[in-house]
Amino acid sequence: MILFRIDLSIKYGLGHYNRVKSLANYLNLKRYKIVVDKLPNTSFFKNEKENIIFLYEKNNYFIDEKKDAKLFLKIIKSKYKNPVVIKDSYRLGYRWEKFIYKSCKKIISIEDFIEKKHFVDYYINHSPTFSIKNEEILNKLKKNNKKNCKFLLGPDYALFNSLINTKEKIISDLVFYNGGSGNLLAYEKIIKNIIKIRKTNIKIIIIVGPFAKNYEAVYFTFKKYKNIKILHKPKNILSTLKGTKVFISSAGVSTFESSFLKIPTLLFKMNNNQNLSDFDYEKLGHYFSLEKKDLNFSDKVVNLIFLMLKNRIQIKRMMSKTSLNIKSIKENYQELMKF
Amino acid sequence: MKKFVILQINDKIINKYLFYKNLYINRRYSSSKKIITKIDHYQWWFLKQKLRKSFFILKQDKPIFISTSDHFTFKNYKFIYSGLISCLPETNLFDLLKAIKIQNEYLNKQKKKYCFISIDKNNKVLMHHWKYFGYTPLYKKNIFYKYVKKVLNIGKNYNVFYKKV
Repeated sequence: MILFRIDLSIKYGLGHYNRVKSLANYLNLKRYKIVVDKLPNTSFFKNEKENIIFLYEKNNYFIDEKKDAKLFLKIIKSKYKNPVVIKDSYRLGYRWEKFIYKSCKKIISIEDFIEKKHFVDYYINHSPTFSIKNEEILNKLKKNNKKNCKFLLGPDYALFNSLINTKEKIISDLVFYNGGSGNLLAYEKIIKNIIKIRKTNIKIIIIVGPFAKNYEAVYFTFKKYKNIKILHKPKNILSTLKGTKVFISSAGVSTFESSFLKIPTLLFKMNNNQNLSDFDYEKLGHYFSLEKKDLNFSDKVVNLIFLMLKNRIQIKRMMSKTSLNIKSIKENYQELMKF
Repeated sequence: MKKFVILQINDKIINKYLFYKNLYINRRYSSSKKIITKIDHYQWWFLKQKLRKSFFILKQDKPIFISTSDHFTFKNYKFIYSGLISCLPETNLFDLLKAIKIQNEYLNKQKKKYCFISIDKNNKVLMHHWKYFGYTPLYKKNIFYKYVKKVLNIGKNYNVFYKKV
C-alpha cells in the first residue's frame, strides 16, 4: 500500500494534491490512499473520496509534527501495515519522518525548499534550479538528509498533469489562472482594461480553482461580459491551456503544464514558494515572470499582454527547445517501484 | 593572446540583457540612472529591441560587452546610433578599447550611413578616444544636430560624435 500525506486546504492550495496525483499516474498506482487534515468541502474531490482519509475530527486541528505523526501512525497500525509513505507537506519534516520511519517500508518526501531537514529514503524536488548540477546545493541537500538518501532532482522528475483530451480543447485568446486557491480578482483591473480596449474582439477564460473562496464574487464581477467565460473547479486545466494563445498565471505547478504544452505564459510570483530566479523559470521556457506587486501597474501589464499576444509566435520559438518529455519522466520514476 | 569573438543575441537573453543594463557601471553613464523594471523592459523588448542590431563581444567565451546599434532614417539619410553595454560589473581600458574596435569594424561594414555615439562629459576615458575611431564632434550648426538630440533624447551632459561610413 502507498500512503500519501499531503497539505490540502484553502491555505495550502491544490499543488501538493496535483503533484501526488501525477506521481500516482506516472507509477500507474491502483491501490493508494491520500491522507489529509480534513475532508475538503468541495465537489472537486467527488471521484477521489474513497481514496481520501482524514486525520483530524471535527474540532481538532494540526498542532505540531509529533502529534500529527502519532495520528498517522495509528492509521498505519490499524489498517495499512508497512506501507510506502510519500509526503508532500510544508508543515511536516524531519521530526515527523523520524517518528514514523520504523513503521514504513520507505519514506519519500516531495519538497520545494532546499534548506529543510529530512529523514527519508528518497527526496524529490522538481525545481528547475536542479537542471544544472550545482555541487554547493547538492552538498547542502546531502547534509540535510540521512545517509543513503536518493535524490530525484530537477525537471527530469517534474510532477504535473499531462493527461490531455484533445477533443475537449477550449479555444480562447487569454486564460487567467491563480492556482487552486488563489483570488482571481487580483486580475480584475487588468481583465476589465483588456475588455475596454478590445471590447468584443477577444475571448477570455478565467479558471477559478476548487479552493478559491470567492467564486461568487468573481462570477458577479464578470458575468455581464459576454466574451468572458468562467470555469469553476475544472478537473483538468490542460484542455483550456491547449486552446489559448497566452496564459496568465501564478507561478505554481501550472508552470510545468504550460511549459509542456509550450503556451506563451506570463507568470506572477504570488507566494513565497514561487520565488525561483528568472533563469530557473527560463529552463522551463518561461521568459516572462513578474512580481505580485506588478499587478498594481495594470496599464503596463495590459500592454505587455497585448504585446505577448501579438508576438506569440516569437515567444513560442523561444520555448521551442524546452522539452518536458513525459515518457522519460515516467521512466525516471520507475525506480520508486523497486520496492 | 586572448581571443575575442562576436555572437548574435537572441530573444532568450531577454532577462540577462536587463541584468546587464541594470549594472551600476552601465547606469552610471546612462541618461537614466534608475533601475529598469522587468515590466518596462519586457515592453521595450517587443517594441524596440526588434529594431536594434545587437551582438555579444565575448572574451575567451565569456560575454564582456553587448554592442548595440539602433538603425533609423532622417529624410534621405540613414543613421546608426551605437552603444556598448558592459556585461561585467567592472571593466578595463584594454577590453573597452577592444570592444569599441570590434563595434567599429561592424559599423565600417555599413554603407552610406551616418554613425552616432554619445559620451557622458564626465567619462574621462571615452572623451579622449573618439578621435582614434574616426568620429568628429556634432556641433550645433550641423544639420543633424537638432534632430539627433531630439530623437535620441540626449541630455545636456552628453557630447555627440559622428562619422560617415
